[in-house]
Amino acid sequence: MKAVTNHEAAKATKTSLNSLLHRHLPWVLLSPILLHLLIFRYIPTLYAFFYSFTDWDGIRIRRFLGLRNFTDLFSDYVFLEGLKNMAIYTSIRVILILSFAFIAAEMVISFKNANIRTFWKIVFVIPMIVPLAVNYLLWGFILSPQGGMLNSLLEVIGLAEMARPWLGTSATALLSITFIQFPFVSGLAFLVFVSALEGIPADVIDACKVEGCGRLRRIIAVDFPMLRGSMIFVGVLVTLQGIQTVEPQLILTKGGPGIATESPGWFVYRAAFQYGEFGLAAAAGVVMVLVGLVFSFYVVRARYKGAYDVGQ
Amino acid sequence: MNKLIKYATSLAALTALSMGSAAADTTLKVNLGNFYMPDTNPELSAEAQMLADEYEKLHPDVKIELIPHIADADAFSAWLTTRFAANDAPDITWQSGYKKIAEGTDNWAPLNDYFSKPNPYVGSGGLGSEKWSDLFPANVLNQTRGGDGNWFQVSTNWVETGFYVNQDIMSKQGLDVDSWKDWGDLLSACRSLREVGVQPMGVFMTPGWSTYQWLDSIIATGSYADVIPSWYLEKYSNEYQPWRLLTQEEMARAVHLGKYTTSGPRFDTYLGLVKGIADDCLVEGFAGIPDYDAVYNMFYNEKVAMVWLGSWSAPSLKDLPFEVKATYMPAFGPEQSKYEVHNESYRVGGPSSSGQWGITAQATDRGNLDQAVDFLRFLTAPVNYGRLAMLDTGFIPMVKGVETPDISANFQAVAQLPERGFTDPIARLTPKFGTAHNRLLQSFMLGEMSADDLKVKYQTAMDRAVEDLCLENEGEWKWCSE
Repeated sequence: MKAVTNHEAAKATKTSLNSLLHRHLPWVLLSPILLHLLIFRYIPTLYAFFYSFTDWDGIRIRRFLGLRNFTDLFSDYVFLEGLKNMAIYTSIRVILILSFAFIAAEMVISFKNANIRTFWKIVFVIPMIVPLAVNYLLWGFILSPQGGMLNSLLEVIGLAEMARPWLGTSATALLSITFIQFPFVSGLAFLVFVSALEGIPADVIDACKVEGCGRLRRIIAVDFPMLRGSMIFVGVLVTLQGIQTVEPQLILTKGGPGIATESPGWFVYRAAFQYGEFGLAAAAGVVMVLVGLVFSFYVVRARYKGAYDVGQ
Repeated sequence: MNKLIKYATSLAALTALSMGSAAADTTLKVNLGNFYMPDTNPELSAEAQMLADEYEKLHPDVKIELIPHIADADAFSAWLTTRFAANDAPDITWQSGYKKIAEGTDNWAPLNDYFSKPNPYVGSGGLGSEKWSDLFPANVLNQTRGGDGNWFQVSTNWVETGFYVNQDIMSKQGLDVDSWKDWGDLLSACRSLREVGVQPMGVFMTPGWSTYQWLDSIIATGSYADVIPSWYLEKYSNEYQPWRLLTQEEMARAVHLGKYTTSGPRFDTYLGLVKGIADDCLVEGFAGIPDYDAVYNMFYNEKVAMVWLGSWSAPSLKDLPFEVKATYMPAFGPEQSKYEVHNESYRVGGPSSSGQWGITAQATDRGNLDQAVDFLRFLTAPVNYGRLAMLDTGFIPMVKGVETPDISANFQAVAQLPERGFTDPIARLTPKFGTAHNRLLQSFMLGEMSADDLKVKYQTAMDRAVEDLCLENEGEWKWCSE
């Protein structure tokens, strides 16, 4: 009798340990990530909010300035132009990246043969391993005013009069950096769309066929609505990238000609690392965070309004 | 029990030993600029490493940790700023002289007292054996002294910029650079090249640092040459330099007193010259070329007839498939600037070169100042520095007793020209003003901004920079309250 009780007690202990482990294991496993996020993301961001009210040179706080950094920012035509450029750059890139990735995903998904699909997925994904900086350097060669690949190509196809210093005039510089990585199909957006399209239930497609859907009709009536969540997800990511962008300025234009390619990200970099005005840089960073947060809030809220996503 | 005591004793001895050796060791973190870039310049880096090893042998309690230099100026600046912010700046590091002067004692240790003491690595009776500063020419010392009278760097070499010409292209068009008498001849040659579809001159211009800055400083000097000496402040002047580069404080004072303003006729002359060279000479797309290497490649690939590069590029231009001639900008004639007084062009060079090493204030905080000074004395002893100089071709050594490599000797004629009066825009007032200057000039030169609009914005940028500088130097720059 006693042996039975012991056995039951041991079993109960094991069960409760298991359940404890089950309940807390995710916390244990997630805690290093949480710690990492706290140390390297949340705490620096909170610090940036604090420093944005100070005259901080990166080493010491010289004085508290209240809102002066912010008033300086919004009276600085360079920063304001940067915000405008950011809006143009980001909007165009969101539209281009979503469109081209969607078209490419639709084309790939149209292959019935799984091997061919896999081949195209690999073809589009391999360029992702090229570091971003290398990508921009390559585009520097493409857009170079003397002997650049784009101008050379225009000459070869008889459009020499269209050749110009793409990054060398204000009229074309911002659009030129916006089109970097054209045709935008290699990347996360493409993968997300392909997966989402592959995840559309077969019966929905079949129902569409029964209704006499052609290819275009199916894309409009089925694919678009069902990919709404994926599109918003990718759209938010691309927008946040656009808000933070600094690579084209750092590698190619330094914000010029004039202020044609200025951006808030480049403003932050320059204020901090070239002028030693870390307080002002923190204030600009705070503005970028707020813009990102407000945008994400509204977009994500809209995303859940009457959405029906693949997998729901 | 005995065993336990034995272990405890051994452990204590080991701990004491390790603590003892840690306490005796001094590690100096050293960035020697171009002298230590193992990936791109292995030979020179090996020699620098060898010197560090030799120093360690002489001083077994000191370890020299050489940090590879970052060639890109912006990336290096970001790296060093971050190291300062993290309280982990190198003890000795390369940095531009004007930045050291701008940052002053906040980041750099003054070397004045050390300069007046002997360099123990120079043989008895040799130059420097009484005063370390005797090893360096007076003009180098004058040019690297800050407004507060402090020296924050040891300058071991001199750099020049040169104007390289593709002789094959020029001859084909019947042009001869030796026949140029003044700036007008240069522009006329540029126009001839443009007419036949040849891009005349490779210069790049960005809102950050660019080779255009050299051109700008020559043009600005030519437009203000007659009044520049009247802007000098007594405290920076000396009898050996009746004509010299304006200091940051002198520039700021000239702006403050309305001597340097956008409303005068000299500024119009300056704008006219700038626009003239942009329209006639500069390579199409000059404002969209990202860096020095891109301009170098244009010349190398025969996309431009002429290019303005540093003397350090001379070694790599020796064996090109076309004939290269090194020359220099012609002087301004009275037709171009009636304010010109020298009848010679101005050199853009000086001790702002690969050998400008400063000791950080953080080295002083760590108690490493004396040791860092000692290592610099070791490096600058002619017998040691000579070994580096012979491999660092393209630069002119400025340590007395060190011979000049043949290839740098070509630039010694340029080094004899009068110094420019205006420095690079990024160093004239504040770095922020420098960016504003470049931005505005880019727009103006491209024809995207009118002269009137530029003048208003330029004056605002200057006034703002002077306001900032006066705030930073409150109490020291007495004229700010005039």
